[in-house]
Amino acid sequence: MINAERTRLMTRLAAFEEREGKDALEIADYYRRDYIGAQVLKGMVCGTLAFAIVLVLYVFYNIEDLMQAVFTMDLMLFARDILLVYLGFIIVYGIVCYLFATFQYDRKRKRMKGYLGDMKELYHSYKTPGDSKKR
Amino acid sequence: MTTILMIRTELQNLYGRYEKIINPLVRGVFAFVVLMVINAKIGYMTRLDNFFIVLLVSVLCGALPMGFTAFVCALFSVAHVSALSIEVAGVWLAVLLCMFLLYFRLCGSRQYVIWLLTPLAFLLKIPYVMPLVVGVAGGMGSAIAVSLGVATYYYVSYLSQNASVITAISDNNSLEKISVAIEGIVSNEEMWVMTVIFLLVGVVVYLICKTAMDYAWMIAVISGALLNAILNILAVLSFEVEISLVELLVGSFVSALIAMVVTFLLRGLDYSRAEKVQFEDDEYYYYVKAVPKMQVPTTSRTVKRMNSPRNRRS
Repeated sequence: MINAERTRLMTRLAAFEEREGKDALEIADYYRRDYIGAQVLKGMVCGTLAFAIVLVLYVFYNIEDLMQAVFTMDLMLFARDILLVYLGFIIVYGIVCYLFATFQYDRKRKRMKGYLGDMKELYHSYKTPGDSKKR
Repeated sequence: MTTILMIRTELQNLYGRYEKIINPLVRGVFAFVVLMVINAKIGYMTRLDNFFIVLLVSVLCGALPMGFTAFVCALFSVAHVSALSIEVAGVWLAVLLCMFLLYFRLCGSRQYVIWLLTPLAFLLKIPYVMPLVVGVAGGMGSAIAVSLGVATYYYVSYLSQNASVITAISDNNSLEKISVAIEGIVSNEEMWVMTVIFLLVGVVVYLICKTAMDYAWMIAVISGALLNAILNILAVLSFEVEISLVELLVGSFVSALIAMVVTFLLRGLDYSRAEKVQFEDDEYYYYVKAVPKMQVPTTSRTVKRMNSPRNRRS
């Protein structure tokens, strides 16, 4: 015999999984700090790649000036300037990633609360005596 | 008003019933339109500028998530530009990669739709509708997607305008080709100014919309349209930006109208029945304002049988 309450719970759980996908569910595997840390780290890697791309474009765009100045300019000073710009950029982008990951984690966690509640209810429905007969 | 609400309810019911068909269909049609526009605007690779290839790819896009459509559109544009010049295609690919690494990687598929819709809105001469609608219906991040769409439109326009200049440069002079391509980013004052204006308008509309005042969305759309017109006029006066004043004013007005209709369809709040309640618990005071959505029951025909099947048999 079909258990109406279980069917309702399972439908709601399946609908959530379909709607939110694994995006929201992956939150469940992480502690808050770990998730945000991983996202910031990912952001820093991507930020570094983007910075490298922009740097390459900058070099190509100014190649003639750079070729002329390469023997006269202080290369260490030039490298230090680039490093400073990179650090400034990566710190700002890291902060943006941190804020974004915090916002996303809190939002997804809130959505997950209802899902986990339903999951617990479903689990307990199988534990209660006499339920196996209904199945 | 009632008719619009009835249409909305009917559309919602229709969507609820045929969601599984409508979603891929809309995705496919959207991909088809965007790819056709890319072909029309920068269709340098003749092999890709083919109706059947576009149709086939669109069917594939319809079956797959929105991210795939964005990927295919980016791929199409890079392929077309590569037929013009491989160096310029490299620069364009680098720009797209930067966009993905810094922004799209973080966001959902909705941002891809906004990014691709913005250049389409430019071609339809209603670009100002984007920051207004996105500010009301989307989030703060959506304003960034709109501004990236603006940058994409201006850069692609720059490439199509300078195609003859790029092809005129000899193949041995790769550095000059790259230089011309990067010039379109660095010295494209109009692109930067418009990108910032769209971002500002989107953020302002979003912030006004989030306030608790009555008719916040309507006030947000009107102030967004006004701000947009003022900023554009300032841009014309201060920078090398060429915008027709008539086009700007008519465009702003039409965009505000479209944004209002879209927002009404999305929200449609009934402020006359708004309720303000105040309560407290151990930690907080709560000031809650609940605004109900306008609802109109649609006419539904029900057939009532006066005699049951058993009676009929007997």
